[in-house]
Amino acid sequence: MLPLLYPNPMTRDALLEDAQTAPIPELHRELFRFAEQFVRGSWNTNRSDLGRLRAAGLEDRDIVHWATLGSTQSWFTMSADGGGVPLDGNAITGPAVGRKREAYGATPERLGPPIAALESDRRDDEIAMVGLDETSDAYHETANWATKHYGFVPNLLRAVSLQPGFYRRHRLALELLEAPQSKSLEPRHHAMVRALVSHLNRSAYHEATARELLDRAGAEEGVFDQLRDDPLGMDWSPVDRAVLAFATKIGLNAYKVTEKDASSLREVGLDDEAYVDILNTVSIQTSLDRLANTLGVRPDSAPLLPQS
Amino acid sequence: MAHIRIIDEAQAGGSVAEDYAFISGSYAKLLGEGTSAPQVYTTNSIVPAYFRFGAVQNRVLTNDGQHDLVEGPVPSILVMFAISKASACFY
Repeated sequence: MLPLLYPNPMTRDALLEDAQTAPIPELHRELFRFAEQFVRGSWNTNRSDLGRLRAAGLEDRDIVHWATLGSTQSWFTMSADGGGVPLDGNAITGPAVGRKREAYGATPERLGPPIAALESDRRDDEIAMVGLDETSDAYHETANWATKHYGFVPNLLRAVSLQPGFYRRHRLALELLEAPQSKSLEPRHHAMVRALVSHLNRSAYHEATARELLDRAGAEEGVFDQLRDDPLGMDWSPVDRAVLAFATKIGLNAYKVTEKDASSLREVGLDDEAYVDILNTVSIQTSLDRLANTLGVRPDSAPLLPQS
Repeated sequence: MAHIRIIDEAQAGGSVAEDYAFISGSYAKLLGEGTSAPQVYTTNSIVPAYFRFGAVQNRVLTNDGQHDLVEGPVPSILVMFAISKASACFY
């Protein structure tokens, strides 16, 4: 794919070394800057970041498109690295990136509470930092589904209304996050992984949902705060610690996952289905956290879970 | 080698077989007859709900396998490459 976009091999080498100094179009440079922030610090996105994209020529529809593609690709990268997938002959993204992996240091492993920057940067009357278009058939269909399912239309779904073609993806993502999808992962562990990941991503949007899900799953009081303050501490049981350590590793640097991580889960009695459940809970939650952070989506007034 | 057990296309049944058929067909239309589903999808093959999620994402990215979506100011594939690069994803 890269040779088609950048025929000159020196340009490709320069891009892989540092996109900000490579001889590529300015809009492409903005894209690589956007991607870095989307993956490594989406919680820092503010109005001026989106303003710079608009100044570079993007319309809000394009910004939502980049964020949506970023959300989707986040799942693919975590699935590939977290699953230990070897390079395909027909892989169409990601070739030749690996040589600089170690330059991508981990996100700090001890994080404070979700940053409130987005709250202060968004006007009181705004759903998100991008425009909306709630006229499409796909939006109306999704809004009807959400009203029946949640009792309201989540701000996240409103915020992506400029790209209605992705609604079936976002809906399925939200549904898959409501419960484990195998019998191998306990609902409590699933809820703990969701809360942990939202902490790692400093997601203000999903905090109320994570708290409510822990409650519904029968988690002990105080677990939400413990996951924030000491996710890898010795107070957890061996199986809790194995689940949380694996989820943290995927969430911070999926490319560091190895066969040993699968063994660590097996040693505490978890099977490959549980592995896939944890991997997907992390990757889907991360994909939505990054999307909400980047678009500056206002938290909903109720948890994003089916009406009980 | 994947770190976990997988179900390949020849072994698959039910919804996983249906999704494999769609994904392989979608990539074959893009890359030529005989192309099989990329391995990134197979990671999730032992839990059908997540395998379906991969297929749905391919559907929205390709207009149900037609590969005829109008591109924005930057090719979608470059956006996805930029995310892979920022993730240090070798795949």
